[in-house]
Amino acid sequence: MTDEPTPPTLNKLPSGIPDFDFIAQGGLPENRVTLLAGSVGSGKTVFGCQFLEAGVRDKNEGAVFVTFEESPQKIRQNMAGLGIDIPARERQGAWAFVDMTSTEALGEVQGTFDLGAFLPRIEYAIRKSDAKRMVVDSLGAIYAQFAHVRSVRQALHNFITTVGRLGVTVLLTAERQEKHGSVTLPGVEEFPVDAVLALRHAPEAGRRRRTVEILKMRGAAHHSGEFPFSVTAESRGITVVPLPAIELNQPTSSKRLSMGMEDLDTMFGGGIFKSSIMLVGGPTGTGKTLFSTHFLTADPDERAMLFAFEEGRDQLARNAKGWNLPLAGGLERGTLRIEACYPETATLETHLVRIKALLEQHRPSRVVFDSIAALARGNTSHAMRQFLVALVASCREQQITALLVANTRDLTGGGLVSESDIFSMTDVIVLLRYFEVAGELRHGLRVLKMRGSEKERFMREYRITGQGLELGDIVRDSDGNTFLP
Amino acid sequence: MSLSDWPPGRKTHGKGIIGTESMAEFHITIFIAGEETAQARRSVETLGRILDEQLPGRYELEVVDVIAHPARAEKERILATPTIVRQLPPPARRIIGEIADPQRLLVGLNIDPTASPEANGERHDR
Repeated sequence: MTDEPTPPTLNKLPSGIPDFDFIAQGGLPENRVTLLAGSVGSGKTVFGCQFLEAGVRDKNEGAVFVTFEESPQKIRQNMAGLGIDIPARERQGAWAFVDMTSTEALGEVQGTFDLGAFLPRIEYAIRKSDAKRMVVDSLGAIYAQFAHVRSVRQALHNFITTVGRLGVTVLLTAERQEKHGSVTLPGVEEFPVDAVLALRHAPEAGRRRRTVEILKMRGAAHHSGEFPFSVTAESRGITVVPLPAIELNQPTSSKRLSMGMEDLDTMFGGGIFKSSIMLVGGPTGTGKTLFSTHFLTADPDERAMLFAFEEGRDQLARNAKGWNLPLAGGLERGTLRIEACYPETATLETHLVRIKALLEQHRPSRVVFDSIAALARGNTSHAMRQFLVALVASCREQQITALLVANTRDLTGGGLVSESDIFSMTDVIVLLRYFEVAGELRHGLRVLKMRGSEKERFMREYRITGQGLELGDIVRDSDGNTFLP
Repeated sequence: MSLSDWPPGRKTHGKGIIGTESMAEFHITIFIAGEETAQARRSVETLGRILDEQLPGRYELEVVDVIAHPARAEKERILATPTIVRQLPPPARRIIGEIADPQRLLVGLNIDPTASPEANGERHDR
């Protein structure tokens, strides 16, 4: 311990942005100014509106939006697309705009002046809506309007230093020119802000990736580094993905679940542990989708969910009918839900946010992702790894038993685990492959990994029949030897 | 005359009378911050003097203190003080800053004292 005086403790105000408060360890410094820097289109206004909306919605805290940039009408329209109904909040008296846009507000400058109405209008709006949260958007636009006026800086300085007296927590947005440059704007560094956030929207492997980083948080702990986020209507705006901060826990359950195939359960020593993360891999045509359908329909009373990234929902139900598996029944009863989506339609972060929201909605105890290879297309292995870590973590968190489907390139199942960290993330790995006996291609299944339990080490033959996947004998070569790892 | 004689938001100056029944040809509003500040007093006095010289008996002047009447400032989207607005005849015309030069004021507000009332209202549309 040192004798240095402890900085005064800052109270944190929950931002209301999902998982941002986790990386900010609580939220934004209460009754202080946080600078939110980002390039054009990086999500500053969304972040701001979501911050305000969360205050009204969750804590009945009034909101003030001071805009120098977009007209209130434009902001209302844009936010409506994200499910934030600003006009409703205005009618409620909980949200007030201070419209400082347009040169009409200015007129022709003929002599010296002050921004004398700046603070009175803001204070009036705060009183009117009983505000606890405020957004000022944006610093760059203020400078653009009043570039030649010294008093602008003075007015802003006064404003920032009097925020504490106003009793509001303020987000002040600012433009960044370079995506990774410093937050340099004229005069920004001289403002006594207590926190600085940076939003980025930078290309990575041909896709734009959104991230948020906390550059400064006076007197308070926070997670450092860039955290991806997505903007979706489902989550009413931004959801931060706190990837590097997620901890991986092993499954704690000792309860075993059936795989929907008695023989397979035996291979696993009585089924797989509840909330395991399982990977099934194999080349195309080996019955991975059939395998996962068995898993999904093992127990008609359990809630199950399938995220299909490759085949449409109808086709899946048709296939399952051909195998005589009760996929359609589960759909009718509502215990089974299938979400089909094309991997290319969104970024990995957006997929993740959507998946998490749907999991929370349906609350399945089993889930299948078919296939993660489809999701990996067009993404860097780094981004894919982060995605999988977060996906696995949220399944574990909700005690969901998950089955990830992966493709392998060669017919004997090689290349499944060599190129990713997926091996260490999963508890169970099942490999489906082809093997050849006397010129005939057959199917073989092997359990490569089964954490915390005995497993059968041999490869078994299986057949795809009208009843689904049927396990056969242990595969031996012509000399009667088994295929050992 | 001192500013404190004027009830805030509703003021008369010169020959004009503020009100809906007002018949003055020109309706001018000046927005200031803080009635008691020296700067605000100077702005109002300078403006009143110029208007008295240039538009004797033809104008009314309203002084609005944005600190006392922020809602009014919000409604008219005033940011800078002083802001001088020609409310009537339409269209509205506004200028910002201290002005001591009568000609600059008249040009800024697009007022020609020698023109007919109609002409003052129309010239802006040219």
